[in-house]
Amino acid sequence: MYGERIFAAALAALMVSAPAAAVTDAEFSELREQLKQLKEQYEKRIQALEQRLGEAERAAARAGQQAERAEIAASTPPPPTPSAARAGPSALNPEISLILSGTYYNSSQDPNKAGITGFILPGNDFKPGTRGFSLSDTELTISGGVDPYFRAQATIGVTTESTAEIEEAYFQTLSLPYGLGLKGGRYFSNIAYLNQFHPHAWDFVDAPLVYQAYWGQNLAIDGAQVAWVAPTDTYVQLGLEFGQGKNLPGEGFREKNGTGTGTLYLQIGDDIGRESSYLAGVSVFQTSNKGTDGLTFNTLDPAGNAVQDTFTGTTRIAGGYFVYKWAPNRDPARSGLKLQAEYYQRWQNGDLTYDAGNTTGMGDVTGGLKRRQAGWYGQAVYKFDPHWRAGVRYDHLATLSTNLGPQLTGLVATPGYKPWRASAMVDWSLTEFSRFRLQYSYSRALEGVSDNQLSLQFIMSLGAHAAHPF
Amino acid sequence: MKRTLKVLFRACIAGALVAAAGLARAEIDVFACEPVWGALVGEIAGDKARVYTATTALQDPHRAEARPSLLARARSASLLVCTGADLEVGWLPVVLRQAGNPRIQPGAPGHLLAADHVPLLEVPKVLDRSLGDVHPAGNPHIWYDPRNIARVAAVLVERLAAVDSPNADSYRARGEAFQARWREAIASWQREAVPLRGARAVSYHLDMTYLYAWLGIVNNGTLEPKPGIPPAAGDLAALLERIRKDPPRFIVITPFQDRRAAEWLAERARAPVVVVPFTVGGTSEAGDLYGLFTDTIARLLGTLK
Repeated sequence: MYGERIFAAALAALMVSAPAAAVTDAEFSELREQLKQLKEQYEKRIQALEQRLGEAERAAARAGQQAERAEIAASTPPPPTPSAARAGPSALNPEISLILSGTYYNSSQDPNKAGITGFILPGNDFKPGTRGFSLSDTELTISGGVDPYFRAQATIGVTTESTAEIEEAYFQTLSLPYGLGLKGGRYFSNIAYLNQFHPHAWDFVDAPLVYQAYWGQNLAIDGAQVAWVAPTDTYVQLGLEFGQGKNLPGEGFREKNGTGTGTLYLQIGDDIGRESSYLAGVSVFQTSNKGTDGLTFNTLDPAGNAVQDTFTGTTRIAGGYFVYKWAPNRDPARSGLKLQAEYYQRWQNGDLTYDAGNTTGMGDVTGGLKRRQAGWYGQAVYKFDPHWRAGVRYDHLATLSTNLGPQLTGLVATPGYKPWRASAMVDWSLTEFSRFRLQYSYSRALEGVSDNQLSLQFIMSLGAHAAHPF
Repeated sequence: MKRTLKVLFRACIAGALVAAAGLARAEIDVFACEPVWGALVGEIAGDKARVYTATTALQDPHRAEARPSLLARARSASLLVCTGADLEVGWLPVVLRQAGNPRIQPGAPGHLLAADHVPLLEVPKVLDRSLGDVHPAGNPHIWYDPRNIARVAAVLVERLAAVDSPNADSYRARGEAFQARWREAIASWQREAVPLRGARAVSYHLDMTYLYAWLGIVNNGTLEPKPGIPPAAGDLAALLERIRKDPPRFIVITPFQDRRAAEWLAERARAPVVVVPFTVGGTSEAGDLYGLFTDTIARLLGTLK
């Protein structure tokens, strides 16, 4: 706009100055008249331009306001649901996740000769690790909704020997009212806290000694579970499990009508203040193998002979746990503390057959057995950095009392030793999907033997984002 | 075993009685995953609903846990209002599975995921965790655009009316009143926020996308090298190098994010750090939905002075 004015003025100045000296007065006044006209014309045009520009600006502003109004108005009716769904036959694929895990294990004692005095004796299935590099179970979990009423999940573990094992395969109801839930199939029992987690979600490389002594890594039940959540602000869940009792501490093989195991459990949990929460539970588990071939296990007699004994009778396990978690503002992304302790007693009541195959020549002797044992562990894991956690754990087991029938005296060992183990770990997770862990354990599980165990482990989670219980 | 069964049977009877007593209560229970949805339910339901909010403003909703108290509250809820788009993927499925409450299961009218009712931004074209913790459905932090809140409010009114039909008229009337007030508030925020248009900003996580889109703020990068991966020193240095030519006007973080990383960059990029409330309750001024946006805009404008 100003440019235009300057141009007009400069043009006028040029026209005036250059030929001025040579022109007459008449010509000059004519020129002045023309110039005046020119100037008027320009001013008119400039005014017209300015007016048009102003109008355009006002129109633009009006349009902007309308757009703004339209934008807000557009927000009122919900738009059609945007389609995030996939198309094609794969659209209904269930969630799939794969866990890869491997360990390097170094120990001062031969893991094949390891045991827990009074609970599991050397030569049995118990093994704290495999020396050197090894692949742990590779776990494949497939889960999803079956229909509006059921959800199903299967976890298949592929062992290092390349045999596949169904760790869990169950359905659960989604639509039962009144806080009721039903689970059926093979599932991890709610007998204990850590038992509901697959090994890759544990805070230490291995299971607590009390788990290994009573039922191995995870107690899986082939059967059904009924659970009820109370309509209270404090979380209360009461559950009952029935099962076949095929797995430890049941008898190994069982094919009978009715149920072989039963579990009754109660969980209570709530928040404490603004930054902490707890979960506590008690449970009673019972399995009976009366009237069958019984539970056969390898053991050593007091003379040191390797023999196979058979137990028939009732095993009952009862105990409880307490889990406490703290995180600043309840946000565990950067730091947090987790305290966890579990205590279980085991009662065995029945008959023991010493050396059922009679390899010693003194064998096939049956007598009564009544034994009470206890085990507990306590652990603390502290997250001190978004990537790093450190933890300690202490395991302790004890045989509280053993009553043997007179026939078995001198044939069956009754150790009074109290096995224990102390562990420390540190783990590093760049994201929630990968983890590396270093763990050291000092194990006095076997009487008179001390074992230094060092593990380096990796855990990688692929696929569907896992959702873990508390 | 017989005795145990008897005990269990009695417990069930007792439970049923307690449940019946619960049904007789006048107000409905609503389970909100994040404070912003809790506040929205409060606006529309008033005293007709008892709202329980699962997470606080000082917590990353993506990293929350399926605490026992959440299971208990989900058990009695008639309506669940969450963000969806996988924001709560690490804990909500466990809560739904263990709560034993068919009213809030996916597909039921009592299961409302806000992200299902707004257009999602940043829907990834490639799904691969090597790109970080990607959300396949799109960016889930939808509530930071008040126009999305209006959209969710419209759906919420109908869901409340469906799960609590005796009070349907009240929900609809309150919903309409809310929409009218909200429209005015949006217009006023948009006028206030005009100076923010075109301003470049760095955030910690990709969680300001909807706020940027609404106010015309330009995303100048995130402190996280990839979604969900905390920045290391090298990542921050690389970001600083990248933004040196066009430095941001401000570095915007939420109350639960790492302030140290933001301040490291702020010092070198000569841009102020601004902690925005992010959700209701994130700052003392963001006590309700209106405060959330008023305070967010005020804090952002404060950096331009």
